[in-house]
Order: sequence, then C-alpha cells, then structure tokens
Amino acid sequence: MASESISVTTSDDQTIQLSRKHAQMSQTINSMLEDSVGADQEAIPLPNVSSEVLKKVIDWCTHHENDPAPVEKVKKLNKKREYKAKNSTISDEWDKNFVNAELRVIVDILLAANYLDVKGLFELMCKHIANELKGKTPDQIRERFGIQDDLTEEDKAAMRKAWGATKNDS
Amino acid sequence: MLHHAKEEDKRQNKLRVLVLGNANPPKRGSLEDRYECTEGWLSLPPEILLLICQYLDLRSLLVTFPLVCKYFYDISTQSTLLRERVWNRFLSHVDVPPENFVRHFRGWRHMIVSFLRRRKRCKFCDKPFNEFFYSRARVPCTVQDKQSGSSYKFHITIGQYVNDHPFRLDCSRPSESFRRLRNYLQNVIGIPHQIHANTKFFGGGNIRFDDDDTQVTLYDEWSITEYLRVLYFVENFAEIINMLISRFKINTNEGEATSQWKKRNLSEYKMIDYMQRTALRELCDQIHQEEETAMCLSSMRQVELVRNLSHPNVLKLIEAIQTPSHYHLVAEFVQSNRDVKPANIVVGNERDILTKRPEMTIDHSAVTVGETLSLCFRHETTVRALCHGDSKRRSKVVTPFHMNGIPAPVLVFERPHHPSVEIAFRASKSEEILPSPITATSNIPQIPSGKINMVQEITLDNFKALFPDVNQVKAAVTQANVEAILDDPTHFNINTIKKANVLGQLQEEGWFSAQIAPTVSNKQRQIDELREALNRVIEVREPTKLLHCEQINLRENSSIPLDRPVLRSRRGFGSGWDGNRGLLLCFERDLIFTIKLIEAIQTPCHHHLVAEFVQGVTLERYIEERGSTMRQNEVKCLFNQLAEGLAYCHKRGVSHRDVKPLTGEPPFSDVDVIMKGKVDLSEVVTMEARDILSKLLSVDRRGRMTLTEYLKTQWSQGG
Repeated sequence: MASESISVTTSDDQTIQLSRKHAQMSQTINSMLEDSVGADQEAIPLPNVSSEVLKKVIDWCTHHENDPAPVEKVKKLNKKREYKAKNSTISDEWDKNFVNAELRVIVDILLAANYLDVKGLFELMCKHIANELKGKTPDQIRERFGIQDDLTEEDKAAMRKAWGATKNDS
Repeated sequence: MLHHAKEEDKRQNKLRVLVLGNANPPKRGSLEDRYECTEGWLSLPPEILLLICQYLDLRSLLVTFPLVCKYFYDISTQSTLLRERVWNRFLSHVDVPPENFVRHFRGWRHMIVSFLRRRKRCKFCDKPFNEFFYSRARVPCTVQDKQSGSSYKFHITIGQYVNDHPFRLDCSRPSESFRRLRNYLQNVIGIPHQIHANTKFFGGGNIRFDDDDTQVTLYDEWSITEYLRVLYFVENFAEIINMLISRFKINTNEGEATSQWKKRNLSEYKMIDYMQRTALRELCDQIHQEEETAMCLSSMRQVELVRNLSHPNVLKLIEAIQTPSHYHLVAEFVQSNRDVKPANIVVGNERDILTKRPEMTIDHSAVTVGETLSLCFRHETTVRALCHGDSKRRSKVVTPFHMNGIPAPVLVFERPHHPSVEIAFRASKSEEILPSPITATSNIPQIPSGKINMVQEITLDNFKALFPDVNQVKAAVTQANVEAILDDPTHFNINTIKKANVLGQLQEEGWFSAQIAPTVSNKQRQIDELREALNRVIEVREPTKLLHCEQINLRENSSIPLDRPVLRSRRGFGSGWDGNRGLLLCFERDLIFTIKLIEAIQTPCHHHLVAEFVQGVTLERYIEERGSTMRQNEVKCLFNQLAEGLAYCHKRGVSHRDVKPLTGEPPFSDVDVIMKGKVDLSEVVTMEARDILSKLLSVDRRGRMTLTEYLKTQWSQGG
C-alpha cells in the first residue's frame, strides 16, 4: 500500500503534507494518484491553489473526513422535472462558521474546490454565495460584493420592462 | 503587476473594485476587454456562477440578477459572455465560426418560463414534455473508405433523443475512416465518454461546460447549459454536416437526404420556430389531443435497447419514431411462406389473386384494399384491440361489423413499401376520410327480409322484385348503391358477368343515370381516395390522425367459403409485446421465418400494433392441430429456435417475460409442481429430454440450466 501522507506543491511553492485520506476526497488529486502509482514519492503540483487556501480546504476535509461518500444519486427518470431551486440551507454548524469568512477567501476556496473537485466543499461554497445573493436587491448585491454598476439606465429600463420588475428591484 | 494595473485604471478612469491576492487570475482571452471588473467575485467563471444560480429562485435569477452589473446581466441574458465561452468550448477546433452562433441563446429565460407554464399541461405523464423531443432530422450519408475502397452508409441523426443523444452517428460497418470521423467528431463536440459499442457514436449528450469535468451524467433537471447545448446542436446541425462533408468528402445520398431534410425542415420540425411559436401547444390544439400528449423517455431508452438487438430469431426493430402522442415502431419485414393449408389460402399479389379467383372483379381485388373491404363488409368481421395491460380486453372481440348496423369506419390500406401488409386503421374521424359504404347502402329502401332467402339467383326481374315501388327507388339509387346490394352475399350470390349484365340492364332502364355512374366505380374511387389519404397520413407521420390503429381479424370459423382467401391477421401478437419492457418477439407457427411487426403506436393508454399480414396459423394453433402427433425432433427444432432467440435476448440484457401459451393452461402451471421440482412428464418424452427439462425447471437458481447452456447440450445439437 502507498504511504499514508502525500505532499503537494502549491502555487506559492510551498510543500504541504496531507494525509492520503484527505487527499482522496479531492477527485483531482485522487486521479493523479491513480495515474502515478509507484511514483508517489514526488510532490503533486497544484499550480492553481495557494497554500493559504489549501490549508482551509484541508481544514474542511479534516472536519468532514468521516462523512459518508457522496452518493451519486441514481436519477430517477419518472421523477417530476420541475425547475426548482436547490436547497441552499447549510445544516452543519461547523460549516456555518467555516463560510463566515472574507469574500475573497470564499471565492478562492470556491475556485480551489472546483479545481480540486471536492464536491462537498464546492457545494457548500455555492450554497453560501447563493444565500448571500438571495432576497437582495441589485443595489444590495453590488454593495455586498463590491461590484461596480456598469449598466446603463437604458439597459435597466429594458430589463424592467421585459420582466415587469417592481420599483424595489432597482 | 500592481503598478501596471493602477496605470491602466487611471487611463481608463475606472476602478478596480477588488484586487485580490490571487497572483494568477484565470486567463480569459478576449473576455477581459469586455468587462472592467474581471477580478474578485467577478473572476468566477460563468459556469460556476451558473451552478450557483441553481440555488436561486427564478425571481432573483431572472429579475434581480441582470440588474446588478454587466457581467451578471450577460450571465443571465448570456448575450456575449456565454457565446464566447460556449464558442471556445465547442468549436475551438473549427476553422470558420458560424456567424449567428448562439444567436438563439438569447431566449433561454423565455424557455424556462414557458417550460414551466407548459409543464402544468401534461396530465398523463409526470415528465416534462419538451418540444425538442419531438423533432428530428436524419441525414443518410455514404463515406468512401479510401483504404479498402468500399463505401459504407451511416446516418446522422439529431434531435429525436435529444435528451440523451442529440447527435448520433449510426454506421453500418466501422472502418478506419469512420473511426477517424468519429474521433474528429469527438474533438469537435467534445464528448469523450459517450461511445456505445463500436459502431455507434453518441455525442453531445452530456456536455459540461467546465473544462476539467468530463463526467458523464444524466440530466434530470433542466439546466441552462442543457438548453444551450440542445440549441447549439439544433442551430448548427446543418453546419456540422457541411463541415463533415467538406472535411471527409462525405457523399450524402443526394435524393434521399434532401427529401428527408426538407421534410424535416417543415415548420413543425424546425425547432427554433417551433419553440418561438410555442408550437407544441399549437400542435396539441390542432390534434385535439392536448391532454394526451405524453412523453415516455424511459421507454424510449428501452426501445433503443431493443433496437440494438440483432439476431435471426429475434425481430429486428428498425425505427422508432416518437411523436407527441405516439410511438411508431417499425420492425423488420420478413416474408413468411409456409402454409399449413395451401389449398385454402391464396398467396401472392393482386394479379395472382385475380388469376386464381377469376370470379372476382377489379372492384374487389385489384387492390387488396378492396379485397379486404369487401370481405369485411360481407362477413362479420371482428376488430381486435390489442390493449396492453388489459388482458381481458385483449382476448375479447371488440367491434363486430354490421352490414346494416352502426357504420363502423374501417380503413384498410396497403402500405406502399410493404406490399403484402394489410393494415387496418380506424381513424377517429374516419367518416371524413371514408364515406362509409355502409352509409351509402343505408339510403336504399329496406329490402323486405322475407324475400332475401327466396332469391337464389339474380336476374333483372328478381332484383326488381325486391322493390315493390320501382319508381320510388329509382330516384334514390346510384350505381354504387346497386353494386353494394349486389355485392352483399346475404342478398345475392352472383358472379361478375351476371352482375355486369344486371348493372347494364338496370342502367338502360334508368335506374341510375350514366352521369352518376362514373367509369371508375364509386367504390373504387373511394378506396383510392382513402388510400391516398392514409398514405399521406402515414408518410407525414401525422400522429393525430392515427388515433386508433387496430388490427383486423377475421373470424376463423365464420362462413367464409373455402374457395375464398382466408384473411387472417396475426393472432396473438400481443403475446410478444410486453409493454415498454417488451421485446418484439412473436412466436408464430413457423419460427424459422421470423415474424414481423410493421408498426406499433403507443398512446397514453394503448399500444397499437400493426402487424404483417400473415397467412397461416400461430404456433399455438399449430401445436393444437398437431397435438401428440408431433415428433420429438420437430419439437426440438421449434424449441431450439425459441431458446436461441431467448438466449440471445438474455445475453443482451433483455428479458422477455411473456413466453407462454396464449390460451389454456401452460404445462407446468401448477406452482407446487414447479416448486417441488418434480415435473410430471408424460411417458412419451425420452430420457434425455426429461433430463433436460428437469434441469431447465430446476428450483435452485444456481443449478438451473440457462438457455445458453441448453443450446450447448448434446441433445439440442443432435439431429
């Protein structure tokens, strides 16, 4: 059997050790490991992830290491197909604290989770951002996420006309 | 880097709202020029944003989101950004990008909303019916293999099974050039995982927009990307074909391809228009069948499964076409020419029938339509409804035809490319299509019933004698009416020459005028019209008109004289069709010649099977007739074929579930007997057969002999 810890190199050239169990929660690393059986002494390069973010990810993995593996839902075909917003409730208390971070960290973790293909973490981040977006007016969203309003009035007017938006939405 | 950024900001007099620690912002190519804010939250790729959108309700997605900033606006209205992304994703290998690509993506929000609205309309099916499913285009192509010099055909299909395989390539034989073509398509369309078998290529079914994710997933919810994907293929189908043609020097089979393509290009097949006009609704209104519009995707998959079966003892399913309310399954055409009682059956085309039965006139047998029609109306004909899931009804005679009763509109026609096939259609509004001959005859004053039996031979006087008031009758009579009376065997039994004589005399006497009587008889003309109309219906595949398609079954023991052809449609066809799971197998008498199903039409509540016109008897009846006189080798021969077919099906993962005698008790119906594993076999069976049977019926699943094993036994292989 391969060794219990795996070393990865992050984008800022740091080498980080993480246990095999945690590493295998990332599909990306997992497939890399499978590809290079026998040559597991070398550090795995992760050029898209910084060490700071990777530590966060490992934190999450540590907390969730005993979670049951995400079951690929056998999607029933006779299930009703409706457009329904997915449930974005974050149930875990630890997770709630975890996502309570600066916006840029959140975004970085989201990107890292996407790259590393850690399903649970990625979903968590998406849920968090969706929660942030929910029920807010465009102004509030801009303020919260620091986005500049680069839409012209004409665009907005067209949008409102098209969708019959109320005044509150502007 | 930072310095440079500041300068740029100053120059553009724009603010960078967030400058993050990420030293390597993802490369965006030309997208960077489009947005001033490309970092921070907005640096998220649109795919991830779209994933986040999954958690949002429609309102915030469609109303609030676009008002935030340009980037979000584009995400939710996808005017520019997605175009770029999708373009890069799909067509990075393609030299010349089509100009109007993603033009129609603009409407996806409308699609979602209209989809939601329409979703409520489907009462019979819990799946969303989607207009994409109902259209398809199929282009047959021929590819010349440069190495071997041989050419092979393949079809490019798009649209029909859009949820699974919007783009499909069927090939008769794989070859090197086909493989290259397939690889090329894989590169263009970007689906590495969807190759089924080595002769089929399914592409595009599961395109994900993120570069790293090549995972195969089945969509069960409509996502934005799915709309994009579907629209992409729809929009660019022609271009893809052209591209293929130019690159691989594919010769499309000109005539066929264009005709099919044009046909598919009709407005109802043109998906974009279709969508914009909410044509599904129109179609539904048009066919008065809105509520029955149903969509059974899962069974479509099973059809695919069945379609892939290919074995001489298994019926080959050639085509399955789905319309909003029906399936059309077209199966292999197999000629059967073994007859038990050849003396009683006239086999052959219309000419043969004519020569063998000289007493029949053109009216009757020039077309088999006429033949069948006249037989239908002469004798009590039964229409049998093959209703799956309703076994009681299946075995019950549903509608007898009455000469003077309620008009039973029956259309019989001959399918052009299946010359020996009789298909009976009862159209819902068939009165419009078919002015029923019965209705015509009902205008005639009733013949006093007492007189009928007295009339043995028709002469002019006898005919006149039927009607007490000749003058009154004359006015109301047409030639068709008179012919109908003359044709009716309950009234007269005459041959052609006499009939012609009588007709001539009647005409001379002014029973009907020459004007009313055309050169082609009314009946003939009706039949022709009817046939045309039906052909039209079939060709265009108007599902609407084919509300009911039922088999005609002539009662066997009716008073059909032996010198007339016994028209029997296949009995017991339903036995081979087990609903959606079924395999189109039919165990007729002569299994050597596989049986054919021409068409099966599914409505939300029925299966309608259109079967080949078969003379002969079923296996069941064959066994009945032969009884114990069958020799073991004969039985073995039949059983081997059954086993071969079944073993083949099992190998392909299809279980038949309905192999049993149609009527009567199966030999081992007693559950106890089977459970105990003690089958009481008659003494006629030899020891080897007994051994085999007990193994086949073994209770222990592991010890039970499979059909494959059976076929390997010495017993089955021995002469």
